[in-house]
Amino acid sequence: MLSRLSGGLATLLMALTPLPTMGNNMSTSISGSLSVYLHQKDTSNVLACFELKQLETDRQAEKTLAKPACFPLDQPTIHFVLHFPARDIQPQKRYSLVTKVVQGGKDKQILAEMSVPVLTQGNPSEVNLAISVPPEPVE
Amino acid sequence: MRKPQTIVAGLILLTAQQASAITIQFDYSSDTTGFFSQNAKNTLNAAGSFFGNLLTDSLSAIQSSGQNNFTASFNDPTTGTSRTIDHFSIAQDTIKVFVGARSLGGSTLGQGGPGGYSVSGFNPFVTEAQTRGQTSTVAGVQGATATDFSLWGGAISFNQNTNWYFDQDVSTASDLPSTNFDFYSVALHELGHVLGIGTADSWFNNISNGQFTGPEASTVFGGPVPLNPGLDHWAQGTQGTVNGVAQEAAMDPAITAGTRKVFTNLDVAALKDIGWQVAPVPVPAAVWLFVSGLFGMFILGRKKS
Repeated sequence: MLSRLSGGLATLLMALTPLPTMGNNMSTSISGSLSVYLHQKDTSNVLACFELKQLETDRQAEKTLAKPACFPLDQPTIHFVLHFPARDIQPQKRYSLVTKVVQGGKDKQILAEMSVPVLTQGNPSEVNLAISVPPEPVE
Repeated sequence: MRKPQTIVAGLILLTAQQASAITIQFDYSSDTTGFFSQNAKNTLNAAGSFFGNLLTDSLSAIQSSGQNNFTASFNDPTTGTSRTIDHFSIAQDTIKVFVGARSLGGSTLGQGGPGGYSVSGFNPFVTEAQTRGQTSTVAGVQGATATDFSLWGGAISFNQNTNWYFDQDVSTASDLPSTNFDFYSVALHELGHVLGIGTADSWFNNISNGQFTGPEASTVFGGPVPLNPGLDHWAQGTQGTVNGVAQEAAMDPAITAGTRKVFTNLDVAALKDIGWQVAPVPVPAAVWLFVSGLFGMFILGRKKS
């Protein structure tokens, strides 16, 4: 059974605007594209939610830097830009962009989830992501 | 005139090339209940070899490395729960199928399908991992415009409570007990689903008014092919032929105990319609070797006389 997405789904930091430069070092950003393939599943009420996590290790999340930023998947590929306060990003730390594909109204179900290392230690600030949700097996 | 030895060598080489088009690799890491005896593995490998000899597509490799990361996802065939494998890589022309068994309930003998994935990294890795070189764009293998199919592999669950028969020589079904279900037939059927029959977008894009309208299948059948209500199988009882002999198609929804159903010309036509390239005549490698050996002996005999 798919687990449920916890927490609110506030759209805080996401904008479909051109990527601004870091300029005065007040903000940093992650941009990229996400393609989602749902096979023959119902595609209504499907959202892509992004959040940035600061990691203690590769697997343990130490801190979520912002609430999930969600966007409706009304087309196969969406482009996104996430902005974060530059002061929150520490070069010696590891960061992971967590992407969840969720569906539903009040009770959201996670259809797929992926994590990508970003921002520090040689990892990019621009990412290309693609998710294919496995189809239900056929008898 | 070419020397007989050269001709024989050429035939053997042809045999080797035909036998190595696609490798279907079975992964038993999910088989925690020990369902797969050596006999079961042998029978499953025979089913895999059938498609390996039949399909001639070139599938590019998926090589996760550095920031290029491919994660395979599928329903674990033994537990039914979601399973992912991070930093997944697979060799060129290879498909990996995770297999297991559990109680599937009712009269279900097996279930299967292609896996999902998540992929991140640089292009062209992200595109190539999704298409495996089958089309230049992802839209060619996914969605409403798909005319082809690409996969890393998938998963198959067999019903652990079924009274199976694991045939060790699938060239004949004469020894198939009337009370047992033929594991070879069910394995072919479920592999058909992994390969996209009833699961690929290019399958569903060939459906109109509850019928499969792919040109290859329509030609073989003599018109659009009726489907079951779920649109993922031929209608129950749909007939095809095997070497000119009528047989209920392998990809209809049911099979009875004590019977063998191999892929008919209709089932093979469906594979073509969803994008697979298919060898003209799928002949087992052993037959090729036997025939080429006879031919070589014939040529040598004529030369001596």
